[in-house]
Amino acid sequence: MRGSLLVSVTMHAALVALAWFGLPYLQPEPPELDEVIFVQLSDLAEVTNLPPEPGEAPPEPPRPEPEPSPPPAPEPEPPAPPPPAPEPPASPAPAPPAPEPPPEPRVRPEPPPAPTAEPAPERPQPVPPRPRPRPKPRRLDLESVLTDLKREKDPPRAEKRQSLADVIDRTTRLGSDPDFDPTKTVTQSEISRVRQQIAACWNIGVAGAGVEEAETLAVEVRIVMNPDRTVRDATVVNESRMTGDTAFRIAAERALRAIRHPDCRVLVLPDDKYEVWKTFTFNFDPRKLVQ
Amino acid sequence: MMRAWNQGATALCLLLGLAVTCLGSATSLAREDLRIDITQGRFDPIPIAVRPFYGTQPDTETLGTHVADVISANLHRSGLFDPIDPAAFIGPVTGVQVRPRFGNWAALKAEALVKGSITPEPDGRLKFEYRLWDVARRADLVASSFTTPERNWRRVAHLISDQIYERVTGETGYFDTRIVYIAETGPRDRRVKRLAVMDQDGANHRYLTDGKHLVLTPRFSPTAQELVYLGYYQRNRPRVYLFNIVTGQQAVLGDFPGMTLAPRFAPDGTSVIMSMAKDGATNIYTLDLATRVQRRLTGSVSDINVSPTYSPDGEQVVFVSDRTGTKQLYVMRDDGSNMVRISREKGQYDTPVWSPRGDLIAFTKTRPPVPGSTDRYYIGVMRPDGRGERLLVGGYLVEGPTWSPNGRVLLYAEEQLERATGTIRRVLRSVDLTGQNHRVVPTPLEASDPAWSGLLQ
Repeated sequence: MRGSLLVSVTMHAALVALAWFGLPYLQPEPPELDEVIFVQLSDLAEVTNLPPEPGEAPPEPPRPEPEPSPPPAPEPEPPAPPPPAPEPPASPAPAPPAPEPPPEPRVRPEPPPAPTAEPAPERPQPVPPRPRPRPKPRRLDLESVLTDLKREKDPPRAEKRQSLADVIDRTTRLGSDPDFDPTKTVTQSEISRVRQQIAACWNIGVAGAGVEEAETLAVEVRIVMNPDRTVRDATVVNESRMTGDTAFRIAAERALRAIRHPDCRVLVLPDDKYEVWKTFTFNFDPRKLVQ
Repeated sequence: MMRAWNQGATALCLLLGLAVTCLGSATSLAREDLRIDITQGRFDPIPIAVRPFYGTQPDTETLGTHVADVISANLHRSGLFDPIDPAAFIGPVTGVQVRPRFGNWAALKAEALVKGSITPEPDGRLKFEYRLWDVARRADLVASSFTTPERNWRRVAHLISDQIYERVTGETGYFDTRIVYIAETGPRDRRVKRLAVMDQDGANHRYLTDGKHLVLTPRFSPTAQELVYLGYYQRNRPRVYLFNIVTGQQAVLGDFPGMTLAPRFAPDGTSVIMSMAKDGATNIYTLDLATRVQRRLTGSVSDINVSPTYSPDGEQVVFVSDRTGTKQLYVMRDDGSNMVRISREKGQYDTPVWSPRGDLIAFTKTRPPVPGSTDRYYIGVMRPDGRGERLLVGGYLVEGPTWSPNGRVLLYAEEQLERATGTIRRVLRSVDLTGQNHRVVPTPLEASDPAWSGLLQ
């Protein structure tokens, strides 16, 4: 009994071994894995709208768009008033004699005017319905100039509050905006059109001639748009750097100048996707250009 | 039963959590801010409108036009600005206090606008005020005023040009400067050479010497009030002279046994560096202006070491030496140690000048003409370690570069050969570091050997 069992086990083992090694198809081949290819999905418009080669005329927009409003027509200023008479000296007493000029004349800039004495700078002259005399140019003294500079450099607080309110509003409405359609995205061809438009407005200046570092600095500008595709607000990200870093300030001003350029006043963005582009960021990067 | 209910509740919570997470992710992805990279742009001069300065009286009105013209010309010559033709300006001239109608200027494609006023002061002087506007941003960039006698109006225009240039480009300007050079007349074998000085735009030209004696290699002191130059007042005995532009007085710098060459001020103005030929060798010496103590920096016994120039920090000196058989550029420390040859490419080098910024050394180079060109002489720049050599301009004979105080423009002398008549004319020209902006500097006579001052003080 035992012997039969041993013979049976041995024979079975031999049979299994023979089948295992003699029949190769029984050995499972390791599956061949496909090479993983990473792809980036781009949104394409329904109609192909590739940017033209440099030098070609820009393509027509894929659909009718409202004409960008033309730059303000030159408006004749109202007739100039007769030149104001020289202001009388502050004191009726005769002015003291002028000091003798030095043998080699030296001209030095006077310190900037003080910030308080004069009222605000004259407002932009409104387009009058009929010509009327222009306000008499005020005498500019040191203090008035500084006053002007101070006031014109700092935007009114109300504007700042408005901008902040916009941001807060935008943030709090996240996810609850009834107009927002997450399926709408700005396509690559639409972005290319804006890119081309801004590139034509972005004057970096003569290469290699300005402050060198400004040509190697990227500047990000946060844009808040109006529904009519005009820029409502443009703020340099890292704006505080503009005060102490001359190269950055020059680069940032070039970027802001591009955004405010008359030819870029109305951006070529799709009207029906305002919710997508009402805030976005321009990244002005001249490094590839300079290379 | 209880256990099954717990399991069901747990599964439901998990599903809900997953759904909320997915929804949040989708929303945040869709809400992700649009970002547009701008990597293309224009490299164009900046269109700028310089309005005539508003004058309250007829004579100041005329002066206002002249001031604006000088500013426009300065900015135009720099190559970085493109002044708009005043004929295109719209509306009457208004004072600096009147805010511009930006729409009008934007229509002219102006990116910057300069407005100014000239007002007589009770003491007879004039007050020049100006403001620079960024048209696109409708913001002012810089404003300033100068009160000075009327005769200084050109300097005021140059100072305003400097401020505009600096505010827009970030670089220091170079318009309130002077140029000294050698004015030349007469036939080649009996050339009359005089020291002459003028503003950088060619205005206020005057001669400093009468031409009876040969003068060479004038160079400004750091204050731009003094010159050092080589004068042949005693035949065959050239000497180094100091000339005060303000007072017109001059003095011999020292009585040296050998022939002295190419003197230049140290950056701090306390000493002069020059070459002196003695005992068959030409070496580089410094001379302390206060103590008149000489110090030799090179110790060759037979070589020629000439054209020394300090680096802006005064710690290094670049010069020309023929110790390898051809004229090459070398840099050494201000005590003569650590001498290193920096010129490596084919050709011979001469008249090195260290940039006021310290980043480049300009030079004259000679080499055989390359096919297709007859140029033998070149003005070029290289970094102080000798790398990055670039030739900016070539010609029949170009030589003697000198830097603008901001280190962006080079002035040099050019000998122009008119092949039709066979005559040669020497002129001053300028080229910027891009190598694209070439200008002729107007001089009343033929000119050579220019030197550019620093900003006037």
